[in-house]
Amino acid sequence: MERTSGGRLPGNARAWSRRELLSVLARAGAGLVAAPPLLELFGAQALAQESLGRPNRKRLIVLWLDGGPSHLDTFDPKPGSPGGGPFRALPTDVAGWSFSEHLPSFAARAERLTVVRSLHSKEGSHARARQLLHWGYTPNPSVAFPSLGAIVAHEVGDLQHDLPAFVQLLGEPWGSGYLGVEAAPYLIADPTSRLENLARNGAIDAERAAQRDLLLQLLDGDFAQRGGGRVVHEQAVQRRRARTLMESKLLPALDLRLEPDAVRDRYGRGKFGQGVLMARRLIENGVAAVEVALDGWDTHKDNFRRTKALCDELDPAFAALLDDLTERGLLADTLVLCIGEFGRSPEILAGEGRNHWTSAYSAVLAGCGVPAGRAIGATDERGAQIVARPIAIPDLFATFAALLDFDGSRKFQASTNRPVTLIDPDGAVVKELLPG
Amino acid sequence: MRWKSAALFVLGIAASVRFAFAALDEASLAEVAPAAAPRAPFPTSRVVAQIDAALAAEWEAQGLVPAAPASDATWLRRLSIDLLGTIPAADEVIAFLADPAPDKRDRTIDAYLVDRRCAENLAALWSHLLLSASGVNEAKLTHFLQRWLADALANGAPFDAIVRDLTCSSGTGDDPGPMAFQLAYYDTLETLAGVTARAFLGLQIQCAQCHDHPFDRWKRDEFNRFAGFLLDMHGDLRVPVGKRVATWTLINRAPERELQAKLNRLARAVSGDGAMGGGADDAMAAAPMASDAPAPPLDADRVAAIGEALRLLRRGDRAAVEAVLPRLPDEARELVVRYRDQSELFGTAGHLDGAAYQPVDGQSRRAALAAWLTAPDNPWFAQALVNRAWGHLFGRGLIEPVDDLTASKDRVLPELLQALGAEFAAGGFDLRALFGALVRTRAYGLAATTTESPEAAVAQERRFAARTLRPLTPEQLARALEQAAAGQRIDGSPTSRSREQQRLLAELVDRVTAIDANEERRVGASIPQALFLMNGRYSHRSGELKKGGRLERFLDAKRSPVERLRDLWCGTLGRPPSEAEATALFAALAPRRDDATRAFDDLFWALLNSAEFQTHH
Repeated sequence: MERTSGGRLPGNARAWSRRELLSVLARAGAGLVAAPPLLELFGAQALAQESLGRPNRKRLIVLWLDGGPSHLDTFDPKPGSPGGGPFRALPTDVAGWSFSEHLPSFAARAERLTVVRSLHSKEGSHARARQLLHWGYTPNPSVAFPSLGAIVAHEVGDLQHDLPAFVQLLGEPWGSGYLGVEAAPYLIADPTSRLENLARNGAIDAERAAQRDLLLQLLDGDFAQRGGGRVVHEQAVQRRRARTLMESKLLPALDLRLEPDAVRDRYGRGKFGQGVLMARRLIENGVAAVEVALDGWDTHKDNFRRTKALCDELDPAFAALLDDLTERGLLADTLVLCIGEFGRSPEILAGEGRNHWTSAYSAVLAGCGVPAGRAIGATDERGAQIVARPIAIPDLFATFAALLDFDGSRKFQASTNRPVTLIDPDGAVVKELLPG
Repeated sequence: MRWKSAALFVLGIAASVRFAFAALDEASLAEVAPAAAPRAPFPTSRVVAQIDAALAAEWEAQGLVPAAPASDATWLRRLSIDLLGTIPAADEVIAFLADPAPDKRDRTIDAYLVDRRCAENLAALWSHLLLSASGVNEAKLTHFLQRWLADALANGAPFDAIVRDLTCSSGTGDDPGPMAFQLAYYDTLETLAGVTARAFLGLQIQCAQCHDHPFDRWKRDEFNRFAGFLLDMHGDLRVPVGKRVATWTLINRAPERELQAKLNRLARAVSGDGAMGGGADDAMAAAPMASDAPAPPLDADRVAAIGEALRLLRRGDRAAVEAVLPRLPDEARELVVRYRDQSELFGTAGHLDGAAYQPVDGQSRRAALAAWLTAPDNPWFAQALVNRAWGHLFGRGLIEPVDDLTASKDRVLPELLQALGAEFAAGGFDLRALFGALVRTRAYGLAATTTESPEAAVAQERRFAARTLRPLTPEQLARALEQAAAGQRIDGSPTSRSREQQRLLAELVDRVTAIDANEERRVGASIPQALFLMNGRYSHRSGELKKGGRLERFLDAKRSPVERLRDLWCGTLGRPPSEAEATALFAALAPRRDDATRAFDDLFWALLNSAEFQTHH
């Protein structure tokens, strides 16, 4: 089936038919080296056009900085202050706004992103803070909240799509709670290694597979009648999603070997960098929400050496992602969020550590219409307290709902008898982060 | 020459110090271990009747109709998974179902409770509970802790004695045993405080570490005073790359003395030619130094500063110590600052229930903590354990989350929990007896609900009027897969997991789907698990032609087709095939051997991929 070009293909703007694309894919998959221009073309845009489906459907990429990154050593530096630490600050094109010297790519792209420096919360323990940052609600043990990624998958994504609507790379899985197993994340523990178990055993032909399925249905049907209905349903859903994945023509999206080395190098060859690259590929292929985790920011000791090492991974990956999304015209519909569960103390402790800090911390947003080149909110000269525009996490989530174009006030039945809204109703939209 | 005499000097100190500390530890433990008072045996039948009555009254009050009793097969599989962590073998199932004796369930319960696999299963669960907050140290220490715990549980040690050992043992040597718990957190005593309170008391105080708990009753002050009991714990853990544990130490020592010892050692190391490390086999030498590289030569002033700091510390003159700080070498300054910070925060110790704490000469703080934790009048200890046991067996506790006793609003029959806690304490914290009682209740033997309405199902399950279905955990699934493929019963081998188990676990442990509010991994159906079962190693030719293996039993022409099908079903699902299943499948058994093999593969695949196999029901 011929497609018309969307005018976004670089170089010779020729549309590739699906058949041509697939044959190129197959050849590349067999290990033959394809010429770089070919790879650039089929690897991204062409498939993206077809699989994005509803035009202007929004997408989410979360770069989850696990452990609580020190805002003073990343997004809100205060060099020269008593607890400012040894890192210098890089000025940006935006007056009065700088990044740590170890995030030069962020600084260079300041006019394409937005930093929020006045986040605050009451949750200082990792478990609760991580939950708050994923659920947008103060943790409540009697409600199984869905994570932001699952919400986006459910409300904005296409749950019938070949690829799961919510994919997580590295890190811990953040489930779909009361939204049900359809929106549950597909966790890829290591984006650089081959995915296993994706092919049916060669000795089982289609007929035999069908026979096996009949036997399985017999067993499951019987169990469902004996009280196992919900479990049978959940497993059936996951099995169906697994099968769809196995048979999907979009499966090459999960194969990083199809990207040219130069591209893979740009993102950084560590697991996180490669995970961010895979996130881009997944978004291009119709996945609604991807979260990539970078762990290690909980620097109670040795903060400066470790933070620098983590920035060395974060910086190129974020830059490559931003550049690629911009070039492919995807940034307008994709929200990129760079955030952790809290910041770190202005006081430097024994062992060169920083403690948890919830009174003020930062996050970076880009894309999806967020007005770029701005710093929202400000902290005092030590980075300890907010002096302007405090923003609570529920406020941020209310803003996400607006940016990603879903209705945060939709109610669902959680396990307690009270219905729960997707987004905490106490959150107030941050108007400075909305387009226009 | 100088080397020899210096080494002898150090060894001499080491020997005398170690002896001194050994004496101190024994004294502390003697303080704590209660006189061997005879304890009344746990009144199992009375407790069972009590629980049955309380639940029946609750069901009546709530208008709940309990589910039907579970079948023998379901009951046996359930008990096996709960106590032994694996499914029963086919022979066991068939024998149990055929047994006409009215007390067969009782006998099975008693047999399972003393089975080594039960001790190992519980040891593995407790070890994970205790060590999971320690990050990388869990992998280094878990097998030591599991082995010790399995032995203790297998010997029927009362749980209060186990907790005391876990809380205040000290020593050094080959096998840390109970000390593995504290060693995992030897340099993060705040985390240890949080884990101790959560695991043994069911209290979530760790949020109060940074500030007063947002909604529970715990204040930061109280947290710090609780952590203060751990202040005299000093440990070190060294694990060379590729090894398990090479050197470790765990001792009781007042913080000032620990600091003095470290500064002493530092002074010795950097004075003179600077190439002399700590004494070779000095237990204290294992304490953390910044690196093993020789210290850079220091000027005389700095060496003198260390000596001065030591003198001032002995005098207790903190203000003057502060003044000396800038002149100290970095490492020494770090040690002093850390000591100062910790003793400011955790200097005084106080119990969480406000009970008075009087330091007693010769008794370490940890010993005092251990005594208070396990005292019969501790408000939380007994109830926390009972609730945790209940949660393990029934799928949810009387109070949910299972270890949030004070803040939880989701409580069913809290007065029953209190009564059970009292019985548990009075009966000597006999964990085996407690489990034995809980699995004999009527509620434990109920089937799953068959009601259509989800709200009614939830209401029934929450009050234990119907069984809560749960997916098998990765560990349970791994054991079940291995047992299903083997023909014979796989017995527990002391601590060494089979290589197959290790492989399976490595593949399955990632297959969790969500973290709930309590950080417990809640396992559910996931795409990777579905892929593994559909296409992975167990999806084809997996019932290998091992001697006595599942496939060999299926192909055994000496048995009738009915027997062979029954053997296959019982070895996987724990029950014989139903009429409908048998009729539909009879045709699958063809006379030719290779057809039979093919039939087996397909049946086995379907059985392992079924929801029933993967569910704990």
